[in-house]
Amino acid sequence: MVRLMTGEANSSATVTARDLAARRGDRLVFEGLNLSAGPGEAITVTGPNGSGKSTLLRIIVGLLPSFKGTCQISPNSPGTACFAGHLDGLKSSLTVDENLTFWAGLYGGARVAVDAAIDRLALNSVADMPADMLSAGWRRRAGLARLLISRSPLWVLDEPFTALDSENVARLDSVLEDHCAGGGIVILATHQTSSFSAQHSLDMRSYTPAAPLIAEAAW
Amino acid sequence: MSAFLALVKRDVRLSVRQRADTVMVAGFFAITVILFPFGVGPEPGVLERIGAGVLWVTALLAALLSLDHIFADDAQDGALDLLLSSPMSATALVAAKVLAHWLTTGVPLIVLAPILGVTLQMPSTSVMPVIIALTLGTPTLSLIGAIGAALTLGARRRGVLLPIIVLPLYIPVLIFGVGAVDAAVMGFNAERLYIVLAGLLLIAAPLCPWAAAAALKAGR
Repeated sequence: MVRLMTGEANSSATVTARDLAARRGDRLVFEGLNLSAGPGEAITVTGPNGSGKSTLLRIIVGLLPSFKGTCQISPNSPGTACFAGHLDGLKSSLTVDENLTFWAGLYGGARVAVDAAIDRLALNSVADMPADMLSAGWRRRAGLARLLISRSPLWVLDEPFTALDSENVARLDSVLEDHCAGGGIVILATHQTSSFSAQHSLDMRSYTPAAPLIAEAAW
Repeated sequence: MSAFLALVKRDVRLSVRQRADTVMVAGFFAITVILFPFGVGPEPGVLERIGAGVLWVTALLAALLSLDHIFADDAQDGALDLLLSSPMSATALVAAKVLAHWLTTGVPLIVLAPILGVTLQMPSTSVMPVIIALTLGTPTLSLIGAIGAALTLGARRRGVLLPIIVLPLYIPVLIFGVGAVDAAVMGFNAERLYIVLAGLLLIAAPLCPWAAAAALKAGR
């Protein structure tokens, strides 16, 4: 079985966006956006509500097509990017451990990776509880544990600090810092100020389109 | 392959925990079939004649009930986005979800059908043909249904839209499914009709996951 291992150890991933523009319906959300990050780098994406932070992140992981411009992830294999959005995708009738074991199976991760992720995010006490019994903060951490299992070099996170208390914000900061230190890339959309210091920051306000409405070609 | 099995296992496990879909499909199937003897009356020969058709039409409608849930649950809790951005290909994802859907809603129909055949006064010679025809036909129902479920995902009136899209596509399976059972009951060779059902399955198996995957991606 030959399989490209995109683990953190041999990571040389990069992400590059050139002149990127996105639309939602007939409205241009942002335009002219350039972005690039290499191993060990982090980008925080900031901006007011509706400025296209989530749209940008979804384009990066390939969940949305771009309207203009290109966004490339290298190596261009499916496991390079791991996305964590507003919803954590936990199945409420499965326990935390079962949820994470499923993702480990999907990403080709090992059982030890699940245990390590549970330890790292201090989920031991709830590992055997069904996900619908968890509070919002616990759920969030259980959802984020998936990143550690994925072995993806590029983490794309949409508001990961929501619902986390200060102790766990610090815990997540250290997880992100370790990921960067290991050669990974973090792209993070956030409103909150955390101690996680990214080398680059991207303010979506700089890319607000001059003319937000897209004129459709006449029929 | 391990990703495929992980997803099938998760969906089957979810369905075993929640049971709602399986119970709903099997319950609807059983109750609706049992209504026919009351509606048609006990006149000899009538039920026997329409038995195969009743079983198949009811099985189609029962399968339809649960189609909605193939993708909607995952879309609602965000798992679908995570799955679509995972290393697993979207086609494999759909195939795994279809297999899990068939195991949890198709297989119960196959088990129940011969028992319900008794209430329709179907002869004992029809038991094997019913099982064979449903075993070959119900996976095709799940496969075609996945396209409808993917296309209508996120649509506001998908409960109405889904049957309109899917039911016409079910007609070939219905024709050959009923034909196979009838042929076997009347003592003709049903083998050729089984082969047609198997052929439909072989066409649907690669095409439907691919089409549904394209619909899912376009709808994101």
